[in-house]
Amino acid sequence: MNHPLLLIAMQEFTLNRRNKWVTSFAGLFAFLTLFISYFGMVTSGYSGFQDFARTSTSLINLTGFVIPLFALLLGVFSFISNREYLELLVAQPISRMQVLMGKYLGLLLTLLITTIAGFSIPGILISFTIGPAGILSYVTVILFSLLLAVVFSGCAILIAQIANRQQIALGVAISVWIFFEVVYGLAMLGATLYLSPAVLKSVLTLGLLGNPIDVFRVLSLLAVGGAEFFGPAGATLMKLVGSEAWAVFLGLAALLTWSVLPVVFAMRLFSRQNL
Amino acid sequence: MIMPVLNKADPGDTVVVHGGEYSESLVIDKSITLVGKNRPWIRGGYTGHVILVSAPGTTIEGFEISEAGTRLSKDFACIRVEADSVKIRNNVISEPLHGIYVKAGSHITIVDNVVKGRLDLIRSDRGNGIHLWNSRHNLIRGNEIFNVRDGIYFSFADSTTILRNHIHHVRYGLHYMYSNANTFTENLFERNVAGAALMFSKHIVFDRNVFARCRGFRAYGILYKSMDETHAMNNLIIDNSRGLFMDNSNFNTFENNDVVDNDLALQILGNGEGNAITNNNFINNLSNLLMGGKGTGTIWASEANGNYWSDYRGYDLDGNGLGDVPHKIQDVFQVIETQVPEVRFYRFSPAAEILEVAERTLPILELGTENDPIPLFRPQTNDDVPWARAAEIASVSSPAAGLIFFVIALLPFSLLIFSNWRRGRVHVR
Repeated sequence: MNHPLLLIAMQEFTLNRRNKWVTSFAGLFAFLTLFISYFGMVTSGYSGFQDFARTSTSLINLTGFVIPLFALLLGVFSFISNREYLELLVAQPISRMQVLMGKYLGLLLTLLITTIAGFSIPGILISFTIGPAGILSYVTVILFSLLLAVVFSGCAILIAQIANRQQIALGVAISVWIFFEVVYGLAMLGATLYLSPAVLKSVLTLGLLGNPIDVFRVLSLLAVGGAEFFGPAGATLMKLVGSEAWAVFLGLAALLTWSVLPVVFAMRLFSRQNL
Repeated sequence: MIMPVLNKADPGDTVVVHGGEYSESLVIDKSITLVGKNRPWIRGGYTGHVILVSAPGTTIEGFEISEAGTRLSKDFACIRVEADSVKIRNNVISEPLHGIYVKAGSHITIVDNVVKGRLDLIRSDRGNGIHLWNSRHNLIRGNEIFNVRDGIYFSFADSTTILRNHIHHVRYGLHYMYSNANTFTENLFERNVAGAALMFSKHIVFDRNVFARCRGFRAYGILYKSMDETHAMNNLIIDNSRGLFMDNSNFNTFENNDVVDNDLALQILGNGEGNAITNNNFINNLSNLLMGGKGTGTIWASEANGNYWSDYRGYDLDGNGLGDVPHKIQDVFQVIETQVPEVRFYRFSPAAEILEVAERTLPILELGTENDPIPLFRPQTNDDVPWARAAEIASVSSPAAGLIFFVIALLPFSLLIFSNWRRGRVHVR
């Protein structure tokens, strides 16, 4: 535990844990997941058919909303808000890469714990009503959510390097969030009005890879409902990639690319930056 | 051996067979009652029909009958019936090709049998559970049929009553071809490719059936192809990829059914007319209607009222139980989806939600002609819909798994406590 990387990570995590914003955000997320599961599974009178899939769909949407925002804001804050602390760290006899990776790991730890806490509490509730097969897909969704958290914490540290004034960085972070949440999807839907169906087929399917939130959503829905959940679109996807396993593999590869690339760029920027 | 005894028997005799294994095929050419005690097992050795009945008035009861020949072109069956008024009761049929094949016999009674299909054959090489050809006025009641190609297949088989059967893991639960004036009631169809596939037939009435869990790209709860004047009521269509599919079908009525939890409730290709879909509950379906053309020509409301749609966003100011604004059955997303199926990948994205809200407040797109003019404001309670039957096949709960999540939930909190404990040391350094 004496490695500087781990020390910085633990320190970052401790700072986050002490931050009242972080705890209230985590609490809100856990509360919302519990709320959705409770009303989706318990009060609706669980019939044992599609309630679980419907509840999961809502949970997936909530996660797609909250986790990226949380990751972006927290990541940007941890670099920008306490500038003197960062300068102090960089002045230590350790490489800048270690500083950056330490802070990144601390951020990841915070997010992973928040996500697990947010999902496991309704998990207790849900597993009293669903069968073992449903639980497996629920756990798969948790794993995909963790990957989503990884992707956006990477984006956050990249944004913090690009825009190093607090207001600008925050603005960029929120813009990036809105872009991936709404603008990207609206652009895709808007494309349906202008492009020919033959082109659209590939634009809409490949376009999924360009947005980690879309990848996350489709992967999670595949886990919960299978490819037939998407109707004819699912059939197209299967024809394109071969099988459901390949679709999942492709999605995971996209998410991994999305999580590695921003960190690599951030590292390059940070090592050359004049603080 | 049973056959020598049958040869000596006179028409009208009852032959009782006691438990044991009998490797032979039987030909019953005089009207006798064949009763098995302690379920004797007749094994045909995979050559031809196991029992061939050519005498009217024969009864077969209490046997296990196995090992029909496997050549589908010969239509081999465990019980082949070529006479009228035959009764087949309380038998178990395993290793069949076809389970029971009725060729040109009428007034056949098939009650309380179990047909287990062959899992070692691919589905297109399997036979049907019960196959009726050129056969009328039959009663098929209380049978369980699974792992065959089609559960009950009708070809030129009119006026047959199907009652309280349980058909699962087959291609089509019921498959009607050119078979008119049939009724089926209180059956349970689950986990098939299609619960019932009704094709090229007229005047079929079905009531109080459950069509559940037909899942797959080409799976349907109920499929109509070139069907006229069917009458469906009080059925429960739950948890299917597509609930009801209609192609080239006219003047059918579909009323008082519960259509629940399907990915798509209705798919209607716009090549039929005069279909009336009224007084149903459409609850919790991901999409309500996908159509083939510009419109479906469907009648969505009777004089009194339309259907209940759980995604109806209107209001009922005068409190008469009917929505004050018509319900657009297709939302904006479904309109786009009709043209570009791939857009469904974005179905649950925030962008799609925004588009829907925007469309509702500021209609920009023509949402098609499909409107329910007087939607019900609340779901109607209909005790004839067999919810109790559906509950038999619902997912089992697993309280034990709650414990696993409890442990997972402890994980983050224990980490917090751990980091708390580490805190002092990190600071000292």
